[in-house]
Amino acid sequence: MVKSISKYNDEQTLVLALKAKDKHAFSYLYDNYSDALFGVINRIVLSDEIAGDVLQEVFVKIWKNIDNYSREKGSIFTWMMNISRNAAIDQIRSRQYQNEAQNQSIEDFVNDIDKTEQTTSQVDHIGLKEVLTKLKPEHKILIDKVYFEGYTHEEISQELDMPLGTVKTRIRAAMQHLRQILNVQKT
Amino acid sequence: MNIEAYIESGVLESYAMGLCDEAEQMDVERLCKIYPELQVELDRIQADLALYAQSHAKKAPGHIKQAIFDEIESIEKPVAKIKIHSKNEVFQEEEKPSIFNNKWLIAASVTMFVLSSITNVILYSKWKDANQQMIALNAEKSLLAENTKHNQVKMDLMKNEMQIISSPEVAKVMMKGMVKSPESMAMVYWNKNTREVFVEVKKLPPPAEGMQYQLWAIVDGKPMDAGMLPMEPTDSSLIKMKDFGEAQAFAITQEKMGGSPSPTMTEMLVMGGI
Repeated sequence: MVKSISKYNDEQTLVLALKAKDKHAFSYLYDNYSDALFGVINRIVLSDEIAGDVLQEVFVKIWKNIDNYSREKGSIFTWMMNISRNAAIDQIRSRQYQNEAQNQSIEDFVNDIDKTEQTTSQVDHIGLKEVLTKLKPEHKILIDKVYFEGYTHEEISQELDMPLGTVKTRIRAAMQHLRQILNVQKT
Repeated sequence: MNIEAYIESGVLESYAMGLCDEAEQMDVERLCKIYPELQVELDRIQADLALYAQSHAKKAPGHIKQAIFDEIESIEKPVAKIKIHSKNEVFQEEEKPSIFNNKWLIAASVTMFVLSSITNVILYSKWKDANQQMIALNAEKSLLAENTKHNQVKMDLMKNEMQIISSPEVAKVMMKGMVKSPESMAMVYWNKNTREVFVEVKKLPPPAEGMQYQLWAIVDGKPMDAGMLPMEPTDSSLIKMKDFGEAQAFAITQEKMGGSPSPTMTEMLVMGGI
């Protein structure tokens, strides 16, 4: 998905240009990462319209706060991903609050997500989706709940009925499994 | 530190997935700076998650990019506008938002100043009171100390006198008032061994102008000069007198200043025999 030939082929150069408020660099950033971020946001808010609003909010935030980004926080994508994820989770939480839909249990909410899963992941740039079908369902659920839905340790422990002390190591196991699959895919 | 165990604990994954609380986040960031192998592992986890996230990619609606750029333009516009304005207007534009803030700042400063002034006044008056109290207490203390010292000296003297008076070798002679002054009374303490003689005035009227009291020892019927009593009373109520050999009686007469070689019998105030 990342364009191979570009004047920003080096992430550091791209970040420097963004910090200098270079709009060409920002345009490049949008072209390369908007689909991935939109997918993640959509995966969380379950609505194209709302996901579009959140995506806009996220990119404006990125533009305003680019000075806060540093290499220590991970890659620029990781940073943008965290902003998107948090904005999307904030959005559904405030929406749930406004709609007084707190009665809907987290389980129902997750079921809703699972139902729409097929329709949200339409774009498959590098055949990742197929590869990821090899991910064990329990690992996928765990990663999705934590990474996309912002579950806390306690919520995971309750929802998936696992002792609180084992949540971190289970997540590690799931991520190890994901890494194996991705490595196979790369080779 | 056991790096392997730290990695195995899954804390890096939790960190990358935004699951850590603030304290844990700081731990991870601090440790990653110290141990490069932790940073390598964290980078890999983040890369894996990025790939996982990208697998969910979906084409974003086309109009959003334009909307974002429009919004960014509108954020930057006010800045551009100020640049075109004349210097005065720029000043005003920049001033406006700060006035609101300054109001609160000024209000806060004034409140702080007033509160601090009031506190200062209260503290100063308290300090003044305390200082005055301290001065008074100090004066009282030195007075007490002086009194104590005074009493100590007095007590030493009294102890001394008590020893003299209570000694078994000392003869006590009470001299009672004569016709001239029946109220008067005085004591003579006479140590036969050391031959020391003390007189204690219990009650005597002040001597007449130019006159002084004189003690007489009556030895074998003859009055012998035993010394002059001081004009002013001393701290010691026992007055040491002259030595005189064996005496059978004592008397005090009023004589001219400096004493007489023989007593004026009409001016005898007290007398007592052993």
